[in-house]
Amino acid sequence: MRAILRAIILSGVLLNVTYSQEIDWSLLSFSVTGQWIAPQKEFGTYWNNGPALGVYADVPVRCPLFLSASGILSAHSVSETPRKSRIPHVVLVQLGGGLSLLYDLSASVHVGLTAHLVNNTFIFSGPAARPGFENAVESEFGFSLTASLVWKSGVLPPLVALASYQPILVGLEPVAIVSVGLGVRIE
Amino acid sequence: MIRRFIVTAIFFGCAQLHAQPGYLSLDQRVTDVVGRTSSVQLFSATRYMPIVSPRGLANWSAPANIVEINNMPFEAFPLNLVSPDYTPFELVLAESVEVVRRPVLTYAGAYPAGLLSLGSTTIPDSLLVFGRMYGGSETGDIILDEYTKDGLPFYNRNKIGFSGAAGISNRLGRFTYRLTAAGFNYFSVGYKDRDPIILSYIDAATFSRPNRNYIGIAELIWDDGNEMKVMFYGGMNSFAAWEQLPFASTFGFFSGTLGTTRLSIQNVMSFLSVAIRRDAVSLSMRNHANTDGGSSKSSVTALHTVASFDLGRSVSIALPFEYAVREFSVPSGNRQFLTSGENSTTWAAGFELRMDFEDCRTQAMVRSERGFTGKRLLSGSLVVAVEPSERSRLELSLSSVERSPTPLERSGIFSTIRYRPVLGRNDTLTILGNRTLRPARTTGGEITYSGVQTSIAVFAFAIDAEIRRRPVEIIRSASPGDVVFSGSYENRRRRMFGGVEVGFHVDVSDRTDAGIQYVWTQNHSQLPRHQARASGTTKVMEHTSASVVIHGMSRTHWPEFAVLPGQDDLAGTGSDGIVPEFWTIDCVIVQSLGKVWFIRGLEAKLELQNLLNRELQTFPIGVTRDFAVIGYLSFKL
Repeated sequence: MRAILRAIILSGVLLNVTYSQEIDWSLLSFSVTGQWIAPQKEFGTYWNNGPALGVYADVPVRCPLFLSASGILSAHSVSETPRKSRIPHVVLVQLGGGLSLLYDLSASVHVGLTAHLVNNTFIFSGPAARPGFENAVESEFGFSLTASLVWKSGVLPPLVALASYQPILVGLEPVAIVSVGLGVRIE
Repeated sequence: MIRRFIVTAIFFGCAQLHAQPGYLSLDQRVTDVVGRTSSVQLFSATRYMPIVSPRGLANWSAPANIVEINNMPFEAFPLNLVSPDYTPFELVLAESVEVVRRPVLTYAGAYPAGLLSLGSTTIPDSLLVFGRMYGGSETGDIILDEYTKDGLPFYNRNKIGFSGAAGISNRLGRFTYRLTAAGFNYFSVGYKDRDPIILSYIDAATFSRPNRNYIGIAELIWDDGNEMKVMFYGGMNSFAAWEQLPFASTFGFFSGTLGTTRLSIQNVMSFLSVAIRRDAVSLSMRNHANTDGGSSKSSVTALHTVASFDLGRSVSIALPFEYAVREFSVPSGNRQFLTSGENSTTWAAGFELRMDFEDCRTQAMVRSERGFTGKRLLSGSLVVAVEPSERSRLELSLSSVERSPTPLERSGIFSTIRYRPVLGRNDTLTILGNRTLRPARTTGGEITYSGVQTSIAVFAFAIDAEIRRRPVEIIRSASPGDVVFSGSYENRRRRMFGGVEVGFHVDVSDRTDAGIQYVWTQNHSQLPRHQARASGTTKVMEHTSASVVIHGMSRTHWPEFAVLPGQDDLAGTGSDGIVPEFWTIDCVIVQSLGKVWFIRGLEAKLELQNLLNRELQTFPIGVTRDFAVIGYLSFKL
């Protein structure tokens, strides 16, 4: 299943890149979002949902195709389980890059779909983190799919709502995270 | 003339690799370029300190010297760890990475196992700041499970830490200079279920220490405005790594520094070039469970001269000469690797005759040297190339190249202790050198036809008195579960070795090209009998290119790692020492990002290695490779 997913994503990347052109960096835009991250599977069993701060950047390659990047920082406390004392808190840093498709539904509403390759860095803290060892930071890749909605009221700065799902390719049992968020877009 | 200094033997008749000029800085290290684009083999238990064999005329336990930097040999490798990445050179400087996969003579060396030639770019006349960086990871780490499941260890797995290089160059009057610094960090210990051996060595002191290299290079050139140039190249490479050492019988965590200092004068007189070089390495291995540490130092200080004469009528001769002092030293009480120092003075003299006619070129070369052991060595080569048309070339290459045993092969020692539960005692397993080793000689030839789209090569060689390690006892220990052996080096009887290489390349369109390469090798168990590679690259837009490489090879056999069931203290099943066949798919996308703020010439690359996550192993023990994602950036200011 993983292989199929990778092949599909890679094919999409290759096809999309086929239409790329030289990048005009003066059209670079940012979004800043507050998010709520919900870990799934093993990650969700032992760690709680947590708040997050996200920063997104995108630049058009050839409309509606955009080159995009993201950085999300979230904190996750340990769930109430019998193992709680042996599990450290996690700060999760997601750094992603990939492609976005952004469409104008009307003059004030735009929708987007983003596919990112994401590097997830797990920073463990507290007494349970790596007893006897000095390095309590680990990272792993995942693929995220994000749906977004941008509303330009003309009065307020453009507002962004988003929802994403990211399977993370960790070892014994793959995990995932779901996130939703609201923010502003700076163009 | 200095461009001719030693470069001659790479000329026609030898398979060459031009490793995608322009994208070299968007790769990891030299070994990755070579491994991705040619049929050489990488021998590494930890993947990230790879040893290269240019197709089989050297072997893992006794590799021959194979690297030249700017047409001068680099000889000071730690403990026979012959790798182009264990040199004072950095890929960001590379103009080319060329691979000669057959025995070859150059003005400054004889290479029975082939040659990796690293050449740096010309320093531009204006200020240039340049750099490259990369990082990535294999997937599948048990990051969370370490805390949520019992019995899983804490360790760093297969990651590429933030790595890269940067430099600055400029011209000041008659001087040009370039300063370069680089750092590479690799965590590579495999996975608990598949790669238990190296994990068993990891302790708190080495847990967070990656395999790493830090490199610094200074280049300075003065020219007199005519033909004479004085060139200085100084470089060092500080390293630390976990690796299965070729000379040892087990893993070791070792560190040290190697470096080179070279001063060459081009056209001292119209026919004469002179160069002085000093290559040196110091190394120490730390103690770990049941194995004493050790240290050693070695150096080569050499004077090279080349006199070249054009005799007219397309005939020229060259007279290369080398005088070298080779020193090996160890601290008193050293019990590993070498127990006493060895010094030797060697010399080499050569003669080259070249005749370049319209449709036919001929090069004949002879090299006589006094080897490290004091014995005279004699090597020779003959290359004849005929070009019946502008689009085809037929080449015949004959060579006979001799090499001395190295000090480690002659006088080395390495011991480790393992508890044998069946015997109820500790056993000491020892690798010993052999002072009676004779020089090895590789003799043979190759016929190559090269057309516009097709190349076919047939090669056959005999290796006389090949120097290899012969294990006398091989065990898999109960703890830590590694394969350890006793043995000594020996000269083997004559062995024939040959094969066929076929390559086909086609330009599908003006934007797309594709190629297939197949190699069949006969009578060499450590090489795959079948090896195939298919690749395609398309320039999808002016600033974007994508490529796919499919690479596969049949199984290989490593007798030094075959364990009988009765000697398997861990599982009792034994192992056959066979590395299974594998094939992989790698994908690359390269995007030119143009100018971003003040950074010019920004290029990015995304590399997906082993895309289908097939289990891949290049060495009988050590880590396997998984699907990996690596990102690259390079820039020029």
